[in-house]
Amino acid sequence: MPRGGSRETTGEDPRDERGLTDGDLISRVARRDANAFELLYRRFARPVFGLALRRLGDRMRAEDAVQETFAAIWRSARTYRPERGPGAPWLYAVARNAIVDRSRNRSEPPAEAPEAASLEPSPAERAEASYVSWRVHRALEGLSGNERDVIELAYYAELSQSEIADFLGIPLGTVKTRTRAGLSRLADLLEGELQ
Amino acid sequence: MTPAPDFDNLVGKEVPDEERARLLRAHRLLVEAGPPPELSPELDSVPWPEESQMPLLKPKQRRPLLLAAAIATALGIGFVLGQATGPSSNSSSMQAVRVVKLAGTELDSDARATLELGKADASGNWPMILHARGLEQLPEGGYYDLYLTKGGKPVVLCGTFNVKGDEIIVHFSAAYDLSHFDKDGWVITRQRPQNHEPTEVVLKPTPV
Repeated sequence: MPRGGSRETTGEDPRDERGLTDGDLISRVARRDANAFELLYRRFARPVFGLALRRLGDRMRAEDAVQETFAAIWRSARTYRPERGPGAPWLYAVARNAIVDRSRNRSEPPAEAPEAASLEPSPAERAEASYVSWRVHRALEGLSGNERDVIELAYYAELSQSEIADFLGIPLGTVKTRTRAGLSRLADLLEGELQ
Repeated sequence: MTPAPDFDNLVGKEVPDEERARLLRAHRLLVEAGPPPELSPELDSVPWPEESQMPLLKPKQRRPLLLAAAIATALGIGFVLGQATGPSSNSSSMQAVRVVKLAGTELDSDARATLELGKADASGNWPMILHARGLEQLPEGGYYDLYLTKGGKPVVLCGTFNVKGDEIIVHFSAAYDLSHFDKDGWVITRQRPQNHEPTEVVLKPTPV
């Protein structure tokens, strides 16, 4: 594990406020550090679940895939080699394999081939979109709670800045400050994707 | 793709061009990625490593043979962990039966925490896992306490911990009859050096 190797990246493994990278946590998990496993779960549960939902389209099987991913991480963390790259792509490969295994378990008959060229994204395009979502959702977990709240409310709850201020009970200026700080931090964390 | 909020409205127009371009790229990636999914309660509760070997507990959809194999694996790993980490790990398996969210008070408004409460064991011990973020690191000799409250006041101590870094996960056990205390009545107090009274509440339950 993981089969298929890691995705190539150019970025550094970003550190959190305590100086721990994803790779550090995986290495600690390899030494059977349960606290590191929990921190890793907190960072990656939503990105893994999001990836699984995209690929499988079913919450139940996506939840199973999350369980299988973290079981695989616990089993195979020793195979992670920090010198070969950051931790997130390794985790992405583990998750992808768990999801592929889950999708192979489907007993549904194969779909009929379409008669006309499809306008749907190609497999490569879907894979790229999945990876972007993975990286963005992982980066969101790297924000402070205050920053993440305002970003998610603005982008995904479609609240205006004033509505966010009312919702959180904080001044409008604080919302603006946290939003800009959050975007800036996200830009730092996503440096590799921004090139 | 989700509808995009107005970028200019979000960041203002006084941002230098280079920084503006950087923020705009992050903005576009956020829009492209779409919202992260909400986790179900089963997934929101961090599994212990040995639990992660088992499928989620939805028996109607599980094949008994698969479950038995997973449990056997889990027991094997649990035994190895137990040998490696001593008796305290025997209480490490926990399925949260209640989750209490705590918010920072004016003493530490950036802090927040979640306290997961497991099912009491046969002896009446309640396992708890505290996930806290944003608590400030205290000076040498300082520490944090987790208290149960009655009438809003911290009355019994459930454990102490220190913080180094933004995020911490700590395991506790309470040996009290919780019905004697406030509902969801947990607070975190800050004990600075020379002060060992629970007078500085830094995290308290969020209003429901």
